[in-house]
Amino acid sequence: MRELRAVMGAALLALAAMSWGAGPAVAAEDEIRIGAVWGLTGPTAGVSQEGRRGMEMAQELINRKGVLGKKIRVIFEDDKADPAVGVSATEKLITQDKVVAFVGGVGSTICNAMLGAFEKYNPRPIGVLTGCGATTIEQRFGKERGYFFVHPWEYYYQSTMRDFLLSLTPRPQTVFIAHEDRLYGTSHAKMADEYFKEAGFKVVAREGFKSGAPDLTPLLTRAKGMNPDVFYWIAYGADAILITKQGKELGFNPRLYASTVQLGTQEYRDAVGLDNAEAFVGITVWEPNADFAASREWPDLLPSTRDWVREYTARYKREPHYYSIMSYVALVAAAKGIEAAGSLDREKVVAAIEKINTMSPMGPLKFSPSKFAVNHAFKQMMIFQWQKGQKALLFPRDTATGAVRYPFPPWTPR
Amino acid sequence: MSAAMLAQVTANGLSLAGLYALVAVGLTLVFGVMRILNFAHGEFVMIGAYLTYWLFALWGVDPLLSFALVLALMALLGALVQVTLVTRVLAAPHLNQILLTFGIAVTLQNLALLLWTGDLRAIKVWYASTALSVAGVSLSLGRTVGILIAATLTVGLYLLLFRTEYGRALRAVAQDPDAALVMGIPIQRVYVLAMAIGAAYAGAAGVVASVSMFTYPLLGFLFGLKAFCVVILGGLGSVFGAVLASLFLGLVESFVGTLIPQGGSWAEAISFIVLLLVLLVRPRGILGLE
Repeated sequence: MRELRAVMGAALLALAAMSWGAGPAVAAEDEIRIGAVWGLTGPTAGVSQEGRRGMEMAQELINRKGVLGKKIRVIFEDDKADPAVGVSATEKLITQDKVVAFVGGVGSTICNAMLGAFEKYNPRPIGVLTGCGATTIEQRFGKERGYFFVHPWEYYYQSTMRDFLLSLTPRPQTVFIAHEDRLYGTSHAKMADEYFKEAGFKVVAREGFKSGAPDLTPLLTRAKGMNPDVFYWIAYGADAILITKQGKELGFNPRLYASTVQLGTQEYRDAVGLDNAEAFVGITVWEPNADFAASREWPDLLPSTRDWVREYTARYKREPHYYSIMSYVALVAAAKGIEAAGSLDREKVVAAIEKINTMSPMGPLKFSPSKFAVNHAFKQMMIFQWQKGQKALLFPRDTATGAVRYPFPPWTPR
Repeated sequence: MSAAMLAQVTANGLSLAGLYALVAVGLTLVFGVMRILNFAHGEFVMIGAYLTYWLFALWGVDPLLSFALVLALMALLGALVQVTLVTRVLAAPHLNQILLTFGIAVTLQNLALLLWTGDLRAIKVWYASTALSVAGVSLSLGRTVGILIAATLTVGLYLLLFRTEYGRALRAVAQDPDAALVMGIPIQRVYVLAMAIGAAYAGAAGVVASVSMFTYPLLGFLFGLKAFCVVILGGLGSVFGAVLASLFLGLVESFVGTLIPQGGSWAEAISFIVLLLVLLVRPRGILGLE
């Protein structure tokens, strides 16, 4: 008996700890529940926390007036950047919390697993999803009207990076592509490989690695041995920090270090320091120095970029990442869709979100078809470079706020 | 492969091995003395890393200076966990012990998340990623210091185990706790000492990780899993087996990751394949207890 008590006690302790912060599972009629699965811990924590802040801010502002006389409640779950955990969180939100829609998220690997889990349900949950960039997701799930994709697809990323590399003088000749070895990295790297080769670059290697590994010196030593002009990697925030630190340790000096979106977080800059972040190039969808007007329809929720950034910075004492504003706008779109539908009827809400056509602090908010998806918003991408602790926009030229620092300044004098 | 490349890959492997050894020796010591697999050991690494980080972030204490303090605090934490929790399940079945230490791990992870969020945090000290170039081989000063710390602490543990009364008591309890009790050795105190040392070594790994990498609430899981692999390969309970296994795994991962195409994806898998093969041939590990 004593043993049984001990086993049960330990199991309860573990379960209690695991479900800490999970919230009550009983449906309440005075609130509209939205599910949000983010990698709040683990290698995607940086952008996930940015996304969470954006959603929390949107939730508070939406609830000042409410939606259909109710409050919106966002229930956050942590996927730990693990698709299996993401699926469990998704199932819990659907079956226990009875969420009306899913909003937010980061990482194609998780997004793919989540949407796979949606397939089991009829009707499928509505998703206003910020974390899906892989074309395989677009091909597999894009035809579903209830999925609203609020993030550029990977071909927008890689074509923008290709065009940026082509714009450099002297033009780089060789590229080493490194990528985390799950769906997100593999899919992006394959497309980058194709685009770069078509443009005449020589891809000297396309190497996978484990995201979140404690040591990336083998990868970097291999890359250094090949002496590429460009070291381009597609992975997560933890990897970006390690590549920067260990690239410096190994004295690896390609002519350009370039990566994707996770390089743009304040977390990255703070972790590696201004000196070490200097001249690293990344991709972004939006930057706080953009200049979009307020929405005519909903200026209280979708103010001008300047006003939105001021509000966000005042609340959180930090600069917003594009995941902050993307998740904010996604939640506002979902709330306004529900409001316009006048009920929680799935078809009416989907139709109402499809009709949204307004300005937002992130740019024009309107869902339109992409290559394979029926509902997709925000297709533009920009290249930035860390310069003295700030992100200078370099490409496309018409949005540029600075000139590129190229070639990459060697590590040794830093 | 050039000699410089060979030396570089070896240096990378040794650096990784040093970190693995720091994590693993504490885990294997605790198992050797108490026959308990401490699933919270990785979380001790994480707490050590956060202690180092906050001492630096709040009061600007350099990790080289805070090192001794972190070790002492971690030893205290280990002793506290032993006295208040682990002691109660020493005579219980292994399942109870596993559930308890797993529960401690999850609690510590969630506490870290609650207190410090999931943000990745890194310490920026001048030597963290400063490179030393020796005969064409780049060595990070921070990681070199880490290797030296690992080597010093391992030698220190050897001296403690084989040159002191405490060490003799630890080894006696590891060999036969009943006989040790009959001989007048206070085995409960020895257990507390073992857990305190184990936690202190995990804390040392945390100091090195916070400087050379970063810290976040799941850091412990990252190292805990690898530490179990090292400890099983080296032989449960064998400190020197853990050191040998750390060297082996560090070097294998470095060579595979650097020299084989897609090695970054394969390195870990190959480590586990080697582990399986070793266990098939020698189930008790390299230097494991019978």
